[in-house]
Amino acid sequence: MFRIDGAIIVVMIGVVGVTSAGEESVVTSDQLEFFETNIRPVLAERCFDCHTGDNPESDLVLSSRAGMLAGGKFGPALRPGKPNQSLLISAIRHDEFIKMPPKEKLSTKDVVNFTRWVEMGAPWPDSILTTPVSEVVRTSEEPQQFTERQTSHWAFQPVANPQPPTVDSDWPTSPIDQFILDRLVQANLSPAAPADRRTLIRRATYDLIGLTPAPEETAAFLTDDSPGAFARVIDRLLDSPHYGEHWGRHWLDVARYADSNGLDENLAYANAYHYRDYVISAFNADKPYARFVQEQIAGDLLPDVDEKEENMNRYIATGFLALGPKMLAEDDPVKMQMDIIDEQLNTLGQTFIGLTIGCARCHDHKFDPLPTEDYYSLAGVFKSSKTMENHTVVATWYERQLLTQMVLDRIAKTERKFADAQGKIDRYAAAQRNVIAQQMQSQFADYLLAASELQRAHQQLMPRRLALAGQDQPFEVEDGVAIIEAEAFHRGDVECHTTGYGEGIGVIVSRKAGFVEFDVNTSMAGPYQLELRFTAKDSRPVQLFVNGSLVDDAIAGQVTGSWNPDGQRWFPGGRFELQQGENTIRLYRDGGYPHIDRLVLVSTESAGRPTNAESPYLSQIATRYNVNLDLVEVWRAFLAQIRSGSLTQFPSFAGWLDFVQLEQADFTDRAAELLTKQSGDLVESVRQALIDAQPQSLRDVAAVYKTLLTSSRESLPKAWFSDPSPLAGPARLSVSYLAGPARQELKELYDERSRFSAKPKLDVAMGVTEGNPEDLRIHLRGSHITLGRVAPRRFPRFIGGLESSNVDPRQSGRLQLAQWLTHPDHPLFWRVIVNRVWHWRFGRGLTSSVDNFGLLGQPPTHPALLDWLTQRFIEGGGSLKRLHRVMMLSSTYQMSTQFDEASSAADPDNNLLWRFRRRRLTAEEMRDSIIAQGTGLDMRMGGSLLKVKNRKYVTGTAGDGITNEFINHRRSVFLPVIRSSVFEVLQAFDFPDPAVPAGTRQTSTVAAQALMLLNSDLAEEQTLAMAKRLLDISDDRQRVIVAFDQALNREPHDDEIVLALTFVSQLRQSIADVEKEANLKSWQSYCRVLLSSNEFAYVE
Amino acid sequence: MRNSSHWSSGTACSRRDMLRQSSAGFGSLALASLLQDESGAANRNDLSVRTPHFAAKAKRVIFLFMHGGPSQVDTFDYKPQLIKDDNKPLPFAKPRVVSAETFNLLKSPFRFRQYGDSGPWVSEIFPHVAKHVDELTMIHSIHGSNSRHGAALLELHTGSDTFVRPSLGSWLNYGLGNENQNLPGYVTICPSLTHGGANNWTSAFLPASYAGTPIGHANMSSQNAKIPFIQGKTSTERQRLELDLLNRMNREHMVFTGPDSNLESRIQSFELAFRLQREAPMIQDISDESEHTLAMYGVNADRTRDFGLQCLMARRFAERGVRFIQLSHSYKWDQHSGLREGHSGNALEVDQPVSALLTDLRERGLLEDTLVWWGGEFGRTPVSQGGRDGRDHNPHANTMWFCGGGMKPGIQYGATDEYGYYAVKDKVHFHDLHATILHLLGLDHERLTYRYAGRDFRLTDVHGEVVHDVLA
Repeated sequence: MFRIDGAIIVVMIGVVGVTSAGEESVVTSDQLEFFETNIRPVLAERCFDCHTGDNPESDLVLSSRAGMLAGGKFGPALRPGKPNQSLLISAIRHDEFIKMPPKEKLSTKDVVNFTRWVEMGAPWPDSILTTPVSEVVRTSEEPQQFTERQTSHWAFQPVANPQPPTVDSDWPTSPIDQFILDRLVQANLSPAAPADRRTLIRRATYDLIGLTPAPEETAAFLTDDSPGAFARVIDRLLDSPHYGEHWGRHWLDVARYADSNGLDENLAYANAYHYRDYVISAFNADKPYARFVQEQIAGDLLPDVDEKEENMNRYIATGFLALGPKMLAEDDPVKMQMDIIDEQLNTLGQTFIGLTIGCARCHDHKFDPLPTEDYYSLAGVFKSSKTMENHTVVATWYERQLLTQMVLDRIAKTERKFADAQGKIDRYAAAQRNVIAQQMQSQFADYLLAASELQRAHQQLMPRRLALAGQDQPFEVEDGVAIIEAEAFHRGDVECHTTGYGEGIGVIVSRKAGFVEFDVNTSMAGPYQLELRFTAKDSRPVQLFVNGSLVDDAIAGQVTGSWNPDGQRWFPGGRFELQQGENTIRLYRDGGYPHIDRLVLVSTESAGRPTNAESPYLSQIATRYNVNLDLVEVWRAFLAQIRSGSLTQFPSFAGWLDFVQLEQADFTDRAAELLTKQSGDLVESVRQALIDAQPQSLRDVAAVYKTLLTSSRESLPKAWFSDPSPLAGPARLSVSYLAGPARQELKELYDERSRFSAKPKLDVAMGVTEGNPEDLRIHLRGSHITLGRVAPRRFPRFIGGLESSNVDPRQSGRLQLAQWLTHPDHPLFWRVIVNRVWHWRFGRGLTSSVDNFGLLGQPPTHPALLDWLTQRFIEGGGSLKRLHRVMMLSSTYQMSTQFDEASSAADPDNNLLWRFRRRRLTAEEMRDSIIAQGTGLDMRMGGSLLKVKNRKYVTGTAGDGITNEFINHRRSVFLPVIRSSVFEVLQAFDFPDPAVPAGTRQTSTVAAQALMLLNSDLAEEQTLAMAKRLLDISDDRQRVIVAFDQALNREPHDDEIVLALTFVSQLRQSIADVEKEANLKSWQSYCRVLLSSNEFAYVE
Repeated sequence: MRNSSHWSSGTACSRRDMLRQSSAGFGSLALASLLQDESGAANRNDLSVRTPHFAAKAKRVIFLFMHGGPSQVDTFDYKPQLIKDDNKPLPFAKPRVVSAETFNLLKSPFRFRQYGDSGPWVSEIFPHVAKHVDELTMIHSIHGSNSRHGAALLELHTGSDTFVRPSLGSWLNYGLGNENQNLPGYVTICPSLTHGGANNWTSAFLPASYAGTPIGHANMSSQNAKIPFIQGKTSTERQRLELDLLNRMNREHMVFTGPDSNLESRIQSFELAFRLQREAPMIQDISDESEHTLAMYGVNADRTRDFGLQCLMARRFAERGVRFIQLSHSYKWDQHSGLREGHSGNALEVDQPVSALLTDLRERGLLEDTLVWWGGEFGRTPVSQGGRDGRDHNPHANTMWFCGGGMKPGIQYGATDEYGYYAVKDKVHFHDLHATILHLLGLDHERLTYRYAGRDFRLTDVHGEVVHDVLA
């Protein structure tokens, strides 16, 4: 049983303190509150930075009353009771020579408060005289100071079980009617006549499924004379899947559902629709209300059940907490997080228990018994939960993969096949690697020489002046070389950084999957080599496509040790054919990119030629030595590593590099010199062999290396034949290393693998999960800069029993929160939902402030009825369908809207329900009904119509917003809800602001609605479709009869038929000369009038 | 089948007969006696003119919104010390929260000189506006709370950088009503759909009729901007016939329903819509303006055409009593780099049109009760970005200027530090600005409240002080 904690009320609590100079006395609770609310936070925020600690400014300490009295260099700061003689006051007034705080004056309000505080005698609770403000604000033992008015408020009392009053009338058919009639009789009023059957079926159909009844449904009800006819209509409607669409939408209003973030960075919540579909199916399944709410708060923490789909649904349900609007570009991450938590608390409070919890963020709730401490106790629960991946600008919200069994099976199968294919590749690669190693060994001399020539060619190419090309022109290959600035790409979704990572050079960067494409023009078809300059701290190999074909699966995978410009280095990126004219080079990676600065394309036929007549054509190197140019590249890279000093286990190769430096003119002498001087770099056996051979050219040196390899292999270091020496074969097998059938075979293996490399599409849902459990400190005045004492995680105490005080410190506490909220004895939780249903059903809640049951809310018109219904609802297991049935089978629901002058005079607001309330169609009902009359609705359920990708901007910087999403005939509940850019047709008819919970909708009558019906494309299209269907009927009178039956659910009167036919024929005549299809257009006009009419727009 | 229903109740039939026999017809028959409002409750969409709390100086506001954040130190806040200390490090701390890294001090690339009798310094990029300085009220100490566009826009327009709240224009219409029943009381021309989008002109929890009516959006030229649904495919003549039939059917329907103010309002709303769709396009049809006027606003020149047309429309809306008119020079002022070119180009596009608007309003006697307000969502840092040709966002210092509408002409109020980084003297927060604007329109910001979700909300929340020193 819940207990009202405030029953222990302490009206005047005593805290030992000081009120006047030095004397101990009692600080009253009022004074304490004044000090803690108005003085201490200001001191903490504005004064303590300088006037506390070991070395306070001007020797003045302001963190205690004693410090103020003692004063500093300028004497005492405080004279209790005498503001005009207190330096503190003159300083903050800025009216004397000391002006404090120096930069920004305190607000007028603060100055007044300080003056008043000094007038009071500067009361300062003694127990905390010297304690820093961050430690203590209130002791935890201290009882809450709830007022009588707060604790006796009707909504906080346990739900009663009243007996329906006895009334002397045969009008009641339900206890509801007894409650209603009782009040009516007391007020000398009587209920309106019952509604006729046509009215009743139209009302019930709109109320339960949001559509007009079909003519045959109306006809069936009108002819069903057996008892229980209306109950059967209700049951049919409750069983319809459209019930969930209509009532789910009511729930989505209070859940402030939307498909975009809104606020500043309006990003697509492309996975939010799962939550919407969950809500619709929960309503259709009549999920018990407590369970429905538990899932939305803590679905991820409920014990798993056997059905995977059901567990998925629970994760999806927590989307409720995640899909609020968020300031995603907030430079202060702590503020961002607290704002998001605040939004969650506000929504939670209003939606489930009708309390404006958010008010207690900055100060104790002004009216309801919600101290700031309780706010931060609740906030701790959400601080301990994870809603966001990060709080950077622009922040990323958390999403969870929905791994249903079917998807899991599919993934497992694909992964198995992929692994099989990979195994084949690995086995084949190992074999081929040996073949290549043999080839490299047998052509050792050729490779050494070729690699050295290739290196020379590189040295000549790279320092050439690089010209930045324009982004709208393709890059040109000139003199066999094209130099490409990476950030000047033609197409792509990566970011360009010219500061930070790209400081001084400009780089492309991507944190997520991305592609980039460059157009390259060349007049010369042929083989080209790609070189890239980039830096990377982690290996991020990208795929290379040329003219649409995958050339290499993984280039630029090297690691340079840094993400910053200083780490930039050149790496080879593969070799491929370019065609004459335009070519496209595409890089793609399913994840972050290395930071690429520049790309160079070198023609292997002609490059190098222009700068130095002796320099070789790259491809000629291969021809000259009869080697594979890509394997030469492996050698070149290997030797470059040795040159840079990063490989030390190959001294003889380092020695080789020394010979490479020599000029042919004096080769013999210099080589001899090298061999005597520099014994350290060569293995002794190699040195001896070279001395014996007396080489006269680099070619001779190479020949010695080769001879050693064949004749005295065992004398060579083992390192020569181990990784990363190319003599052990290339580390990674590339198709281009192979020739002939082997090449073809490997390609086929790759193709096989690629068929299983596509990841199956995984559904992802927004939601929350557990974070790091922690308690929050009270934020003084709501500011995260000034923190007070810790507020342990628990639930509001005014309404809490014992079960509220124990949040497991190892968990967030969300599960307990869900259980606490939905407890059968919770006085607010059940009343709030029953009242919501009554509101949606009767047009006004029994408590009209449906989102506020606090002290500022409206008291219920029929408190006993509210409790009676609530008891029935709890006893019925929280079945909303049962609740609908109970309400709709009452005489109260079945009254007509008949006007009565006397009743209207006595109860103009119809508070006592002397008649049924006429209501206008909601925005969705309006659009759906118009389409239903025209082309007909597309009744497919669920899924997303949003065309914007997840986390992408739904409205551009200066963009048009989205429109295609709304051009369809699906029910309105399935249209995307774009925050700050709600679809204009729905917006015109009071679709609620999706940024905040909306338990009620306005019904405004504005010109924009009329304009929509008169001029919109939607109205134009649908009235034309309706007219075309009418023209299928040959008889004019019959057309009018059918139109009335479908649109207004009744037969037209004779004079209405005459009016219609007169209108159509006159209009047809008057426009016959100016418009084609005058007959169709005239009927269209008539249809527009029908769909614009008040009778169509209102439910009786 | 209507026999058993209340549709055929005797009273209704006799009323129906009576109406049918009435030679006056439905249009002129006064239903007023039948129309004692069933609810009796205040009509939540009431647009009728209301009396302000006290005598108003201004009747309407034209807000010239420079989206992106114009740099105060390159426009109206002249800082000689910044020129002297160019490229030196900032000698004091940067704010705790910044949006990006910034570097050394950067002097303005533009020359300043003094204008008018009152003598304020104005950048060379605003030669036309500078001619009006003796009538302008410059406030150099405007500041907000947030360094991001979205949050700053929301705070500027609604007072909150965190929640969806009614915008200033909505509060004004809620407080004062609408002077022209044929036009919306709050229009925003070519607003950006980003950085809060509609939340910047929303009525939030205030009734929808007080929401801003967007005319086009930032991605279209102002020439093509239209009120939503203002034109359809139906000819006016055909539409008139439709409305006549609709009126007749709706009136007959009310014979059965009995009096209902909502139904009555809906009948009126179609007539209002009909008038609106005639009047609104006329405002945008500038064919009746003289060549001289068009040239003055720069409507005939490429660079000034778009904003010139916006300014001209603003005058035409103002003449017809629209309460709050916002123009947007949209998201162009965000020069993290390319400051010299960006700011001079932006100024070129607005300088002459804005000057023309001031001249035109003055000549037509409208300036007295129209508050013209120029400014952006924040200022910029005096320290550099973008290779020393750009500046970062800076909510701590922002210069706005005002003209007409009861502001004190020819004064400069508030000041920033010697480099223009922080407002230091006579600081004016957005809340204070809002309080002051409401004051000029005769509204007490503490009394203009609306009860929602259990408490009384106001534009300034719990803040805001009227800046009396800037009032004439």
